Amino acid sequence: MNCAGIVNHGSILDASDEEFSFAVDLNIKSMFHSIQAALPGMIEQGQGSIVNIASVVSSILAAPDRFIYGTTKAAVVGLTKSVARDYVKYGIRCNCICPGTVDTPSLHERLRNTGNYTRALQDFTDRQPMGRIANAIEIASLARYLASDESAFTTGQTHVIDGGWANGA
Amino acid sequence: MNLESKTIFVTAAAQGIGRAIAEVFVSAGAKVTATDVNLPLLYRLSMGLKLYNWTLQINLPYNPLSGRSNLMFL
Repeated sequence: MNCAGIVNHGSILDASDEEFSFAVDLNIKSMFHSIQAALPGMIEQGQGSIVNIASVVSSILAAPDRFIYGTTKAAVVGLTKSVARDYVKYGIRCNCICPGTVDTPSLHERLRNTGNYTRALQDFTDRQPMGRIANAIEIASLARYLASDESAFTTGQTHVIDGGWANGA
Repeated sequence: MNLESKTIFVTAAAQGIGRAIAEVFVSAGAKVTATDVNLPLLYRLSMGLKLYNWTLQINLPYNPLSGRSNLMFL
């Protein structure tokens, strides 16, 4: 379960080299390293399920001022598909979850950083067609399904869970 | 959904999505190993889940500050 990640604000002209590199390390390389560490054991067992937390802001859609975030989360989709392709014959599955906005401490920190918490929360909520953001438990339920044998025939896929955002308002 | 025979490794488990995943898997009976850069928060989470099958893993899978991997499985 690769959940580590950071959300950077801004367009390509706002992005510094340091910010970009840090996001690559945290959003992509952390998954590269943890999967590299876990795979040999999974191969030995002849089974395993890897779940990466990507985002709907990736290869699926763009959100304003999410240049670094969208770029690195799209890489998670590619990483997921590559691992799934290479180890499907070993009984190992690899999927990613692409959430919309989720109610987490990280989100609340970003909302506070905008200087207008209430307005920012309203903006995030408004872009969700269901009129609400996700509860982290809803994401965890999908992760549980993808880790369990109930999803045994599923690999290399992006699992969008976004309250209808990617489907359009 | 029973996950009693499963061993799960979760990164960024101290809060947010990682925490929810850790909690869901612990309650499904899985043996959960969790990591986070925020060790005090992770420790607090492990106390909250002490009634379940829980293994505290404090080594970081990848530390972007030091640039090296130091993952160790229990």
